[in-house]
Amino acid sequence: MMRVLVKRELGLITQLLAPVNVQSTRYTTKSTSSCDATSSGHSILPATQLKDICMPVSKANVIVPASNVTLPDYNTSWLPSPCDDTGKTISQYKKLSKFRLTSLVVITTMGGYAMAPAAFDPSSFAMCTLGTGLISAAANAINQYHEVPFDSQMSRTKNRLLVTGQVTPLKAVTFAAVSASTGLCMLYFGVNGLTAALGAGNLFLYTSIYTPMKRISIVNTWIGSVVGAIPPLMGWAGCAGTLDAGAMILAGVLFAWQFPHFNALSWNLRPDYSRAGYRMMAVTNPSLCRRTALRYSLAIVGLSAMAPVLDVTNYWFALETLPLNAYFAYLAYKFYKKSDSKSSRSLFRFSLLHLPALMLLFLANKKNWFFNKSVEEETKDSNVMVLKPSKTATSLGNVLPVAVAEGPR
Amino acid sequence: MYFKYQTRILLTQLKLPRCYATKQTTPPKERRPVGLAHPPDPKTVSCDYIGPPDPHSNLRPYVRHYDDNETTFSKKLRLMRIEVEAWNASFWSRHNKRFYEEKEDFIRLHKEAGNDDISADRMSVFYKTFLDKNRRIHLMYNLSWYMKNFDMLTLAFMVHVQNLLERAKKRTGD
Repeated sequence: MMRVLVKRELGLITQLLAPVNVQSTRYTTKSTSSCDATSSGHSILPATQLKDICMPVSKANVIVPASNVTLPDYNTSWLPSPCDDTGKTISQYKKLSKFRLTSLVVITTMGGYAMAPAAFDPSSFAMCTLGTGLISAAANAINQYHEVPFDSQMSRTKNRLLVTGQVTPLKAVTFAAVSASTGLCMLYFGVNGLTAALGAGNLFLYTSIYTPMKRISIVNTWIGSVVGAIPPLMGWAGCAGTLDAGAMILAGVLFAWQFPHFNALSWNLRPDYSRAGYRMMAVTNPSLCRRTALRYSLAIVGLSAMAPVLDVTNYWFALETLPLNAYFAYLAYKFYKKSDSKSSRSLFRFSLLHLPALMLLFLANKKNWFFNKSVEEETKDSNVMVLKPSKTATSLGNVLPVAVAEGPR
Repeated sequence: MYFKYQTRILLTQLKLPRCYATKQTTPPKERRPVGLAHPPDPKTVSCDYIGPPDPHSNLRPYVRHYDDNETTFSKKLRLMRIEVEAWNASFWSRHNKRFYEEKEDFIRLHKEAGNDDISADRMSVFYKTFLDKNRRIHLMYNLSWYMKNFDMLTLAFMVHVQNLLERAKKRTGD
C-alpha cells in the first residue's frame, strides 16, 4: 500500500513539475476568459469541465493548486467522498437511476399501453409510465449498490457514482427504497393490481435473481431478457386490465430483441467480463453467443409476421417490418459468420435503432384505435342488467371518497 | 435562546442572477480548492476522502475521518469499513495478479507452439478456463461481499439516524 502511495506521489510530483494537459491545447482560449490568473499556455480546465469536480467542505486541510497546474479530477487526486455539491443532485439521481436505460424501458411501457385493445385513459397512462420509470430507477440503483467492486474492474463501468464515491451506499439504497415504494403505490392505486404485481415481480427478478446470477451462470441472459420483456406487459395490463395473446407478441419481440443486443454489446468486453468474474455467453461459449443472436433475430421476424394474425396490428405491419427485421437478421448473420469488433458494434448500434422503429411501426399499424362503439353495441343488445366490474384501468376514485363517473369503456 | 428559531429560506441566499444598469466589473472568482494530491490524515479532515484507483486492485482507497467525539456506532462503522475495504483490496489485487500472470503464460505457450497471432477466439479459451477455475472462489467472494455490504449498510443507517436525532436534540435543546 505504501509503495503504491509513494509511486502515486512521484507521479503527481512529476505532473506538477511538467504539467502536460492533452486537452489544454483545445481550451486555452476559453479558459483565459473564465480565470485571469493563468499566465502560461498550460491551462486550467474551463468551467464546463469543472462540473465533474466536487467542492470539499471548508474545514478540510486542502492545497490550493498553483495557476500552472491542471485542476485535479477523480482519477488523480483525493476528493471528498459523498459529493456534497448541491447543484449536482439531479445529475446524480439521473446517473443512479441509469436515466437513459430507464427512459427506454418507459418507452416500451408506453408502447405496450398504446397497443392494448382498450380505451386510453390519460391519468392511468401517466401513472403507469411514471410508476414503471420509478421502479426501473430503483432496480438500477440497487444493482449499482451491489456491484461496486465488480464495476471498478471494468472500464465501461468504473466511473459510476458508487465506485467513485460521489454517493454513499446508504443514499443509493434509500433512493431505491423511496423510488420503488412510490412507483409501486402509483401502479397499485393509480393503475391496477396486475400492473403493480408485474412491477414488483420485475423488480425482484432484476435485483435478487438477475444480479447474483450474472456471476453464477450464463442463464442470466435469459432471465435478463424476461426482465426486459415485462415492461410492455405492464403497459398492456395497465390499459386493458388483462394479458392476452397480443400482449405476448409484444413481450416476445422484446424478449427476442435482448439477445442480439446484449450479445453484440458483450462481445467486445470479453477480457473485462472474464477478469471481473461475470459469466456471459460471449466469454464462456462464444459459438452459442453467435447462434443465439442469429436465432432470436430470426424469431423477431417470425413474431412480427404473427402480430396481424393475433389482431394486434393490421396486415400491412408484416410487410412494413419485413425490411427492418430482415436487415437486423442480416447483421446478426454477419456477426454469426465473422464475429469481430466491427460486426458486433454495427449489430449493437442497429439494435438501438431497431427497437424504437419497431415500436413506432406497431403503433402506426394498430388494429383498432377506438373502442367505445363496440362496447355500446354490446350493452344495447343485452336485455339483462349485468353488473360487471370495469375491466379497464381503475383510478384514484377507488381510494378517495370521490364520486367518479365511469363512462362506457 | 428564549425563542425557537425557525429555519427560513431567504431570497438573498439563492444566488439568483441580477441585472444592473451599468456594466459591473466582477472581481476574479476566488478559485475554491477542489482536491488533495496526497491522502490526508484522518483526524484533520471533516469528511471522508476517496482517492484515485489502486493500479493492482482497481478499487479506490478511502480515508475515513474521525473526531475525538465520535460515537461508538460511528467508530464501529468506520472500523468495519476500513476492514472491508482492506479485504476487498487484497482479494482483487491477488485475483488480478493471477489473471495477468495466467494470461501471459497462455500467450507464451501459444507463441512457443508456433502460433504468433492469437485470435480473439483462441483467447476466449483462456477466458473460459480462467472463469471455470475461479468459479468457487467467485461464489464465496460474492456471498461474503453481499453480507458485508449489507452489514455496512445497516450500520450506516443507524449512524445516520443517530446523527439526525442528535441534530434535532441540539436544535430543541437551545
